[in-house]
Amino acid sequence: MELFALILLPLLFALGVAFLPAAQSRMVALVGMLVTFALTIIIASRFDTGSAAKYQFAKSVEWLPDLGLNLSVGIDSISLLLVLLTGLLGPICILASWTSITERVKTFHVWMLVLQAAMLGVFCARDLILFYVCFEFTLVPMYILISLYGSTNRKRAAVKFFLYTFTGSVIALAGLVYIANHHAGLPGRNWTFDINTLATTARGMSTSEQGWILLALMAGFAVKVPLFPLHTWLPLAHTEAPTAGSVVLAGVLLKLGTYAIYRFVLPFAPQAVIEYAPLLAVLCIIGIIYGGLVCWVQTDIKKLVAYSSVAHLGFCMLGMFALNHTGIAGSITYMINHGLSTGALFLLIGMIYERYHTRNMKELGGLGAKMPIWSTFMVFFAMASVGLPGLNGFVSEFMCMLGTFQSSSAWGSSNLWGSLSDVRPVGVTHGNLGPWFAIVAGTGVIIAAMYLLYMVGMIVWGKLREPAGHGAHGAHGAAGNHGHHQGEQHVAVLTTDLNTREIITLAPLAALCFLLGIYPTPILNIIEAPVQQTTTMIEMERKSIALTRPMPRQGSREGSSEGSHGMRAGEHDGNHAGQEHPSPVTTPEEAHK
Amino acid sequence: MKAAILACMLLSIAAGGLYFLTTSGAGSEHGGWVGGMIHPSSAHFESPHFGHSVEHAGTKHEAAGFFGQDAHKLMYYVSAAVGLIGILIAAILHGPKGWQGLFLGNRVIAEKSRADSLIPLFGPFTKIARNKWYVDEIYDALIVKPLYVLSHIFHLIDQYIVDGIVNLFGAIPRWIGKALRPTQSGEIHGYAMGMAGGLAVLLVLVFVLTR
Amino acid sequence: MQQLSMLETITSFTSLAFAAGEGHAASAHLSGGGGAGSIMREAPTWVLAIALLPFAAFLINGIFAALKVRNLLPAWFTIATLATSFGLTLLLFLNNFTGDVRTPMHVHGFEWIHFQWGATEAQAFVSNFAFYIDGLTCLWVLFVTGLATLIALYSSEYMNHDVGLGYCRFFAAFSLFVFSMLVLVMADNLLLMFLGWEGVGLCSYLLIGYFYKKPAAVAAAKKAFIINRIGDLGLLMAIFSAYGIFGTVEYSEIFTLVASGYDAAGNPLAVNTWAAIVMPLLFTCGAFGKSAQLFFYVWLPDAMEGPTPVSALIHAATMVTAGVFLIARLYPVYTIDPALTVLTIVAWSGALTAFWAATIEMAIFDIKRVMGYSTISQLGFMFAGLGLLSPTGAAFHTFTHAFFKATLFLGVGAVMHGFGGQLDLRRLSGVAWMRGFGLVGIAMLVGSINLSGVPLTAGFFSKDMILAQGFTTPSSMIGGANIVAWILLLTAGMTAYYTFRTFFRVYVGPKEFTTGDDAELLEIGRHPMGTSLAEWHKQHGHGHAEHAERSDHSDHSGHSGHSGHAGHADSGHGAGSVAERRLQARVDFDPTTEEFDPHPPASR
Repeated sequence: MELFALILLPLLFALGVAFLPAAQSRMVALVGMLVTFALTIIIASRFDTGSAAKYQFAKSVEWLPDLGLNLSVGIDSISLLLVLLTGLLGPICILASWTSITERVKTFHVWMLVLQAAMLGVFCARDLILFYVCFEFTLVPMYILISLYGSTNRKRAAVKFFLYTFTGSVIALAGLVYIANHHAGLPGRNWTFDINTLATTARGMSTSEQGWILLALMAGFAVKVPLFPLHTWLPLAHTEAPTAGSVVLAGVLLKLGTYAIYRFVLPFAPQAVIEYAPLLAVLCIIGIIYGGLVCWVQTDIKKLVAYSSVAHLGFCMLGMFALNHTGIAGSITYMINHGLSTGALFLLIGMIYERYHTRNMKELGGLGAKMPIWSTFMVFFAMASVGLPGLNGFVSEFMCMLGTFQSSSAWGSSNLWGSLSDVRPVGVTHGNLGPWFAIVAGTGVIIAAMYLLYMVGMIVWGKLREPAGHGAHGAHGAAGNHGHHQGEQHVAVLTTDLNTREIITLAPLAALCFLLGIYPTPILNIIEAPVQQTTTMIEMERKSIALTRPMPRQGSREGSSEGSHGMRAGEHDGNHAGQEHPSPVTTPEEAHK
Repeated sequence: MKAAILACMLLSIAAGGLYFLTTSGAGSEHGGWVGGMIHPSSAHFESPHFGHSVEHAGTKHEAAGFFGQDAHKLMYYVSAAVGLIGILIAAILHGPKGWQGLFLGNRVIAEKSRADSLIPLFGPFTKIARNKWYVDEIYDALIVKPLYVLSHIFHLIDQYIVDGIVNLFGAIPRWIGKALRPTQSGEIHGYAMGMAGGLAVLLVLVFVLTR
Repeated sequence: MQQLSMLETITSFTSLAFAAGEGHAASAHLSGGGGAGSIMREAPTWVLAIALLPFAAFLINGIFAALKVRNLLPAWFTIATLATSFGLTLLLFLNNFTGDVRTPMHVHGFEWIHFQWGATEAQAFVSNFAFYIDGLTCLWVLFVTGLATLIALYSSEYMNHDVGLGYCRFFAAFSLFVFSMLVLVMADNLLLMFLGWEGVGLCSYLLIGYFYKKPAAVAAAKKAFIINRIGDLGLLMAIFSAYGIFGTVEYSEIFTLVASGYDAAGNPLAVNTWAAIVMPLLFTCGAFGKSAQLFFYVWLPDAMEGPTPVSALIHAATMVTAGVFLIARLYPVYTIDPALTVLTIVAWSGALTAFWAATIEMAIFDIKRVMGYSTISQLGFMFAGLGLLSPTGAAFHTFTHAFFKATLFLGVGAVMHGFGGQLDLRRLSGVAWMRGFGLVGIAMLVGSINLSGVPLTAGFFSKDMILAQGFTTPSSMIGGANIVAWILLLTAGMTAYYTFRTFFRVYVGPKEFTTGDDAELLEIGRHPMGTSLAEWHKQHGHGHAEHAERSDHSDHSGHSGHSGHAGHADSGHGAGSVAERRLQARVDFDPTTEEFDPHPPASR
């Protein structure tokens, strides 16, 4: 019940906003978001961390029984983390848009709440069609938000965003329906869209079939991530979206894609993923380097951060395609951390956009002298984004790169730099990536420093540059306010440096960035079980590929170990996965009980 | 002022204490008290290959020596000599007149000294060295500028090629629509012609195919 | 200026004191005694405070900044904290590293990153916030905390013209730097060390860019961070390699494994190219990036844009020695290879960098940059020392260099403050004889003789240790060791030359100065005659066009007329900070001496 309540609450508040007068919209929306967030906290506190891999709070309501469509929900620890992130960013977005949305206020808040509901639905869904409906339904509010409240080029950006993402998702739907159809065609099976059931079926398909499924699913989800070369909608959407739209886009919507890859692509087409992991990793690395270098030459600050998202999520996906625990866990932590730090960066940019109405770094710069609080936050979040150890970005980036580095079956043979070890080293796993991938991806770390310091150097340090007509702001100091006409309404303009409301939006993100940087253990512990499950499954698939297609190279003697080091990585097969239980297959019938 | 005096006192105590520590033999013999710190640390490692620590491996067997002599004793004098020669040359070339320049210099103003007359001897090297061998300029030309150009190229590729392909997908329906629009002319006789013509084609086809 | 000069003198006298202690480097050679891999002692928990106190100071300085504190409180608070840290370090040293038992110590803070990535117990990644303290660490912590306290004391006055403007920010970044440096040297695993490593890079960025309104400073800060990052990539890959091969990133476990000669899976290490050559090479790459060696040195001269205390602490004594520390700490890894390939590379790189930097220094005029390149050169010595199988020599040279180089930098800072930012040695002469600069002169002399290796100074003993080992290590162990040693010897001579070139030009000789162009510094400087330097500069610093009108300003007592500045031998000085509007003036304190003749006969 809790999860249904979680999805319905924002919708109820949206109705409330729709029927109450416009003057109350902001407050009602804020209350709605806070209540939702409180509910996520309550759910988190009642989450049983001991069985983090099990789908808890599971509930299923019949919808179309003939087609096997149910509204089934359930969260494991990974969904829980993303639900928490979504819940956190909700009220922050409303607070951030407190003064910047002055026209059609009701519409804005209604659609923000609907968007929140849709995003929460995606993370809680355990039925394929429910997932898909919510996944697609996030497009509608975003379209409206961008096209009504965006900047100069908003119409085009909104349409492109919608069509591009939609096209990809439709192809993904085709893939998912294909699997469901295949399942229904199996003897003794009915139509069902339950994710676990279909996952098991999909794994049974041949590798070439899985390849097609991989292609179809990736077409949809890779657009959302975004993965090179399907990323060009992102800069446009980000620059034209209003602040709250950008924050939620970068913070949560991109994670829908990465989450979907984890939830669907890996379990549904593991053999294909194993086969094509190097290719996908190459795409990720291109995204990292290409995205980073393009960032470096931007003058529009929002576009710069948008391309930086491309680069960052390249790292995230690289960790995912390393297909080992370190990489996948790193990828999931990356999702959370990126949401926090990049969301904060967009908030900061929104704050100066509200004051100066320009995003061009050539016109606006050197704000360190005038806005010290803002500058401090800016430098802090830029450092979190660049992956400074001690802040959250480092933990995830490090784990993704370590995962990539570890994952190579060439370890322990003479192939890898002439190392003549007979036995595989201890700290490595099977896989198709390896040190070269890690090193090339590592140059992305240097490029990240280049573009982020370029941005900070232009906008925080240096001589003060303000666009023409805004110089008078400085005369009013910290307590100053002067009227500012926008449309027909007279809107009170903001203080020079951040006011309390704005600091409140940033403070929780900063605190989390710091805490997750020095103490990531809670998150790492909680996601351990589901990730272990996934890696176990992948290892099983790897073994079955190896059995059906014997490897030509027999260099690595995976015989008995020496010393007290027990089993080495990659040696556990299904029998040894004693600690981890395979995911309980909740058929629709069982879920009703 | 008071702060400085305090620092002064504290440091003297520290320095004195250190002196006491060293001369009382608390540290290990080789390298004084620093050696005493380094020896039990990871920097003085007993490598399995070399048997005893690497630092001593070199000194036990076939020590190279300085012209055959034991370098440790000799180097005191050699490095002292080298240092003093350097100082003397600096005095000759840059030292002021009189005792301050060790009676070797003849500089009377800040701007010029005897060294200036030696500059032509070194040819272009002086200028190059002064400009730090143009290292920054080389880095700029070899690494920074090409990377910058590459980034711009990537940006253009992104804007026109990658995005262009995407826009192509949007452009194709538009073109097809544009091409087909003239058929929706709104003129009834046109539609009638179309219908009649289409019907005729169909009849012909049916006739031909059922033959 | 008085108190500043006293501090420099103190630090330089300290170096002399160490020299006295080193007077008897014994000839008896000890074998063995490596503490690595032995039983570790438990350190008391207050050892954690040595690093955590500066972090608390950082947070509190941040609060001061938010509260817009407008007095010297941030400085005093920082000094007190750092002094406490130093006191605790002394306590640690005296209790644990002065007796017969000097095994490493360990103290656990909290669990930082810990995840299980495989099925077995061993397949877990563990990196804790914990400290591993052996003699090497203790040595580093001693001079880091000690020097930091002294330089904080110096900065309290040096930066006091910024009170209310950036004072709190300066001390916040300063404290964070000390914290990061301490974490770097005290970490018990490679990942925590990496945290400190990047932390010092960040603080260096913040402090070099302290004068953020100057585009040159911002660019220099960016350059420093990015070049550090390039090295950091190598270091990160090395950490990954270490994890892959050893299954752990903790020092004690790595040392145990290396001592056994096998990696964690039972493979022999010596024939494993990766463990023997690639991994140490990657570590070296990281070390070079941080310590400005070989291709990575270009950030250090530009880093002189930061305030002088920053240059003294970070770019002379502490951050740049992190690379030396890294290689010394991971020396076991470097000795996996029987052929000592990577150590040979380190030795050659160190020597070549030292030589290269020395050639530049013999030609440039900016005395602060001379000191910067000198740091690069001396770091080259330290790396060469490590490569020539003398980690003791390298560590000792680091220790003495920290003190005398800091002294030299602080002296240069005093000159900057006294003459409105003038750093060109062709525009200054006889500074030591000017009122208020006497102590500066003595300090510079002491620093210079240490740097040059004049006999019986601390610098002499440390440099000598490296040179001696250079001629002792056979070429069969380190290829070309002999040649490396000769290069170092030559560089030592060059070092003496350029150091005293600066000293003879700037600090002794006839008194003469030209004010610099830095408006802020002109405000705070005091003309030796007692008037404000800015006033002096305003009255006498005219452009070329107004040259003719200046004849009516020659009414200051004791001054001769103004000389023209056309036709100066501009022998290719493209770089440098020579002010455009300047006036050459001769200053005479003693009215009984002869008046200086601005146009002496051409017999020079």
